Amino acid sequence: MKDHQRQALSALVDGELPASQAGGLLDALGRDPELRDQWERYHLIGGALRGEAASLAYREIAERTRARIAAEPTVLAPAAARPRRPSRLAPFAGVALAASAAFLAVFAVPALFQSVAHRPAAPALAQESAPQSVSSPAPALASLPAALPTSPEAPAAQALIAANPAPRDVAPRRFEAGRPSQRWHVDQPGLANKLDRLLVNHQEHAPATGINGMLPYATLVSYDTGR
Amino acid sequence: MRRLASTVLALGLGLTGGLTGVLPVAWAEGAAEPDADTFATAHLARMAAAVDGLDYEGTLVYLADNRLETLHVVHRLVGGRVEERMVSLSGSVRAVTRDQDVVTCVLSGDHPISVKRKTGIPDLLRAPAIDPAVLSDNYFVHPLGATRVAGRDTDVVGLIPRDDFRYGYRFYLDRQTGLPLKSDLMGTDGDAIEQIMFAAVEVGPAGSAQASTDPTGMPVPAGAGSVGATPAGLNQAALAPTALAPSGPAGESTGGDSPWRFEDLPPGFAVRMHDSWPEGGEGRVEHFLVSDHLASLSVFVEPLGQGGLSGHSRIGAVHAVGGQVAGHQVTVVGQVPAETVAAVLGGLHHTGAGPR
Repeated sequence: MKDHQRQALSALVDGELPASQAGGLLDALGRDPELRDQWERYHLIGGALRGEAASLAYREIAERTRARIAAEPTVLAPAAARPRRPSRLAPFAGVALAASAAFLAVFAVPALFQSVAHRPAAPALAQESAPQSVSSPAPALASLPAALPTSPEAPAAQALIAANPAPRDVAPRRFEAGRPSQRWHVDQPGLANKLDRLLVNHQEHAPATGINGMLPYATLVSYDTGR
Repeated sequence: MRRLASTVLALGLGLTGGLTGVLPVAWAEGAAEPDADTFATAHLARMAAAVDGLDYEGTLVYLADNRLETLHVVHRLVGGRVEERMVSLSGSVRAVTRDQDVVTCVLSGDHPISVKRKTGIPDLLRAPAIDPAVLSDNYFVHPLGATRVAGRDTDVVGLIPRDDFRYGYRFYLDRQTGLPLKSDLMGTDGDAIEQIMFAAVEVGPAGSAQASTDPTGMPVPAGAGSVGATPAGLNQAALAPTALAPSGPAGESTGGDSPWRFEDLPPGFAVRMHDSWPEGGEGRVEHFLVSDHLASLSVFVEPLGQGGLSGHSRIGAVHAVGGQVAGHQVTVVGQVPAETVAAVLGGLHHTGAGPR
């Protein structure tokens, strides 16, 4: 990392770098990890001077984002459009497009609906699996900001992503250990307690209580409030 | 409508002059003894005596709604008085203690619940609760083989419902003592919907256990300390019955002097007891116990304004339904199917006589 790059980086952080120089510096940032570290340090220093809370969770966020993206499955997206010369045929393109649409409406669309109705099993599987490879990067990227702070180990994250194209670093609520089972499933705060009282009162008069002792109370004791 | 397993087995039962019924195979493993009813009935009578008359302490596992809980239970007779305690070993500490006078529940996140136990409860409601002559209209009582539970040999006895208005029971009775080491509550489709089983148990004759201050070894929350104590702040007065006033003959579907009447109760169910106590100043809570002598539900009629259940709810296999009837809040609760509590609520009406 050269001194002029460091100065340019500082100016960029402060928003004082001329736009003409920004492109080159950003390209250098993409290539040079040391420059990226410096970029992060400048931001940390600036945040500290402004009295902002610094979160270690965001350390090396660029590297981790890069690792994640590198580990993503290939995105089957169309190639970037290249600038083309204006064609002499351009005025006729609209007419041709309209003709094609009319042809599709008359001949192709009915056949399409028929093929959907009588779609065999194997093509169905192919069609169902194909969109996954295209659409999976989107949810993976969408979950990135939430996922990164909890998984600083890039290799582990890569392995996870390789195994599961749509990783969920936050455990679903239904997986939580010791999650209480709600008694009665009622929303009113005092109602569950009231139903408990009525049940205890009932239990004390129920004939079945006489034959199996306290066992009827197991239901009451086994369910937590969940509130 | 009875839902049976794909294959059924017809069994002749001689409970009261010879009854013939249909029994799901799942219930009938190792069954079919010539004097099966006598055998099963003797076991159930022995069970009722063992539950009350023995000292036992052990760890229970409870399975319902695909959830597994562990409980510690202690039952002992101290000076001729029964002391019982059940404490959850999973999750937050929840406990029920019961002695001759009071039952106290300490459940997480709520105020402790204390209910005074009645004295002089008629034999109808207390052991021996299993009377095959009475139950035979609604249940088959039948032996279902033998197996081991908690390292002990058990005989299995089934109480099999004849319709879908009540659950069935499967008791695994310790061959040596008669204590139920496992109890299955059987749903209307023949599957166990609630199971409770001793994983380990110590059984001894009454009075054999030494009383200890903390038999579970677990921290017991305030309010569930010594058995029989009446902790401060308990919501006890609200549910302390003032007097036991049984209704007319069993099977009469009325509330005695009460203006409330029950119509179209599910088969075999009748109002067995009626009680009332003051609630919130001028109002009174009326309590009707509706039972088929084994399954039971309670109907609580309260003045409006106390809050209450509207619609259906449940905890495990206990169902409750609530709503307003003739300007009163009515709550029906019991360990019976949802259809049963709904039918009882639907059949309740006010005659117009007496206090409204």
